[in-house]
Amino acid sequence: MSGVVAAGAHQTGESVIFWVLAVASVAAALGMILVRKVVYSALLLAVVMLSLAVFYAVNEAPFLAFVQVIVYTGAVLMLFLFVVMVVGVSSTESMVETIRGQRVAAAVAGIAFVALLILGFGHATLPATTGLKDANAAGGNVLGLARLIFTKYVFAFEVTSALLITAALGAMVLAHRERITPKPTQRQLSEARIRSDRVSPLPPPGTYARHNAVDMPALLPDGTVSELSVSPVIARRRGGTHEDLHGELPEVAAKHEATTLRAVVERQVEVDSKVEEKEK
Amino acid sequence: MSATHVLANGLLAASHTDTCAGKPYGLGAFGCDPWWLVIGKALVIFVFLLLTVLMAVWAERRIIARMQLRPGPNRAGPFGLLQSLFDGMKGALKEDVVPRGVDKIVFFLAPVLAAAPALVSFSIIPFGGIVSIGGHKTPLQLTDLPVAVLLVLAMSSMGVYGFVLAGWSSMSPYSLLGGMRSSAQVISYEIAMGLSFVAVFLFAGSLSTSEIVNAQAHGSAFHFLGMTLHTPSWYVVLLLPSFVIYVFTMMGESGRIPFDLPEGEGELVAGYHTEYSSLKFLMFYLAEYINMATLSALCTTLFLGGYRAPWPITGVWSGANSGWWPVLWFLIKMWMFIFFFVWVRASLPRVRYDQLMKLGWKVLIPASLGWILFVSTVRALRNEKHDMRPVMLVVAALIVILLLVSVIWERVSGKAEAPDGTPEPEPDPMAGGFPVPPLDAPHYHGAGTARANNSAEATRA
Amino acid sequence: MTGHYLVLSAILFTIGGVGVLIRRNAIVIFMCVELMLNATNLAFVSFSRMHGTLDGQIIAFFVMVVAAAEVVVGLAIIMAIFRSRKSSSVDDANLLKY
Repeated sequence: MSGVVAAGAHQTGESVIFWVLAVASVAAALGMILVRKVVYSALLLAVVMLSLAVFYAVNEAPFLAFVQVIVYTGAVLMLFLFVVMVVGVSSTESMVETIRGQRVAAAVAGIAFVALLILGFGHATLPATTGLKDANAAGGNVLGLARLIFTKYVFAFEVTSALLITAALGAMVLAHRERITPKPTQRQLSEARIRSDRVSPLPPPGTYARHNAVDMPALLPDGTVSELSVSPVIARRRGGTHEDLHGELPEVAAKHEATTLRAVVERQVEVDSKVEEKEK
Repeated sequence: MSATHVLANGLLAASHTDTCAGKPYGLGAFGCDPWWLVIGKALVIFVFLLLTVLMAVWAERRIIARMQLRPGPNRAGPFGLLQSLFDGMKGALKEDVVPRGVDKIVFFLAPVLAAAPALVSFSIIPFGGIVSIGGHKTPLQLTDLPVAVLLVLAMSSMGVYGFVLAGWSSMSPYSLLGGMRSSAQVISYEIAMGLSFVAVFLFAGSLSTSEIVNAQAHGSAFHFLGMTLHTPSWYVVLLLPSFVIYVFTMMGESGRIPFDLPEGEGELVAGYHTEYSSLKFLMFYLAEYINMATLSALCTTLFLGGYRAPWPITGVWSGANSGWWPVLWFLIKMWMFIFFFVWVRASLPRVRYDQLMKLGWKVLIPASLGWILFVSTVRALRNEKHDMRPVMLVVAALIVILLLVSVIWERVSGKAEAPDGTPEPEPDPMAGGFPVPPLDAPHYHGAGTARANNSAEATRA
Repeated sequence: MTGHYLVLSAILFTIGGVGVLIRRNAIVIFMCVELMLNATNLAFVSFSRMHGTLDGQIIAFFVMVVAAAEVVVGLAIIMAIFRSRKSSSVDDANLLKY
């Protein structure tokens, strides 16, 4: 009797988890295909994968639950994020349709497919859930899985290992960039540096009263801007202007800073000389 | 029955009727604490972690200062003990600067994602054996799972999200580079770390932390010259290569000094947390030190016999492993590793990124794969009741020779590559308006001198 | 509960499929494929519990391994295309069309 009651309570606990996470995961999946920023898509996919991991845990698959987190969320999705960052940080895709009506057609087809599947499930008679208590009895879930992998599915396991090696090799071949010039040695680099115009390190960016960002150029002794003081990568990323400048060019801003500074110094010199005169 | 119980039962892969049933050790001892005890344990772990962070920051500054012949923080409180507490309070009360142009949502989310998983990992670390609290016999461990060690791996891979997203959302080149370095580094080193666990799992026959600690309790006895000797029981002795690999990957995972490229201040200002300030920066700080404590505690559990007293003490004093004493041994071992982290930080320079990747992929992963192959062969042969000693000796000698030869070969072949004078003119990769693979790369037809002529002809044609 | 899980799995699978159809960024399309694989895994795991055997979990495990291998190669291809085309949109990889 108590077993039946406990089973019923188990059911309610599971339903709570299911309904909370099912809604969350479907919402996240929909968000994933609808948001424009690729990083947001990846994050929402992470939400779906983590909810699935919880579902696995509820479904008496603790090993798979953690493998899901480690392999999918930890490695696969992290690889996606890595590629997103290599390929373009702010890569948002244009939402212009190339084929007219494609999106509506895809949505209609999707809804029809879901309806078909759900109708199918509705008509199937699913047997009562047996539960994995007996299967997990001898040594637990991990041992049970291991026993199956190394007996019944040992061939599939071997084939997967071959697949993994092939995939690793394939990725290496695809991502490999042919070196067309020999790699300069440290000796060659130092010789080139000594022979170049500049032996010393590059000048650091400018530090001013209101601006000390790395994309503010430094001023040379004659008051002109030193182009070497800003990394070309940063200059390119910012499109040449600092955001604080509100459209001014960094050179203009730097000159402005310099004039302000000069005015302050001159005023101070003036004050000082007056003080000196008074003292005399 | 609440939702948490369903989850716990699913994870323990057992229905609630078999837990708590008489088994004093192993996984059966978990999942039967009253609610107040569970909450109490969780709170104690939380406070313990915060205190560990405060102490670790202070200890690190003092130890490094001592190694560099200066006093270190010594004003706030006795020996400057309250320094890190005051630093934390001051940091939290500072102005929270959010740069213009950051991705607001992710920028706020990232520190939380970094700190929260770090706190979770400690729930499966065993601090001690069974004690009696308020009349309940309970293990000194919040919970244990049949796959407990995987939880630590999962949480460390979740923690990287914080670093990567911080790098992305800051919209600054330095942060982005730091985030990218962090993701690549942690993925690479997590593989080697997972592989270093495999030998431990093979010997302990379990992935649960409490069972791994129990498996290190007694080595098997063997008879030698009429004496009964016990084989060493800690995996640091039995599985030394695994331990060494784990220590390397531990350094890589924690992102501390020899491998602190994600935030290398000489190159990237502060890496992924360049744009962070105030409480959000403190959360990254907290995550870093908690991760250090977690990695140390995990190493203690997996390789140093966990909370068990070291052998000279157990030989003299039989009660060393009962009651609350194990907590002491555990803390001593854990702090040894934290000291090691600090010591390494004070002694070693930062490696280059290609050196880091080379170590991870070309040394640690192949070495641990080879080691696992060896260990599993030994286990299989021992299960078949073969005499293992000659086989092991021969194989060990072979492996050592192989490693030496490969290291020497690497050195020699690296030196043999002499610089061959002036560089060749670079062929145009966009010849004809489309990117084309270089048809005259050196390995296609040797390093011929006619290369420049060939490419010139090709472009003309 | 098995029916519930199956319906959820079907919905997630379809969302992934629709995503493949409507998005043009190769990375997002790839993520949608991953979503579809995940959805099938959920079905496998719940079937495994329904039948009381571990075979479903094994299949899910193999799907994960295959997905990992697929991601490695796929992302390498995306990187290679990006290097030559400076774009990760599938519409731009159209050289074989003409």
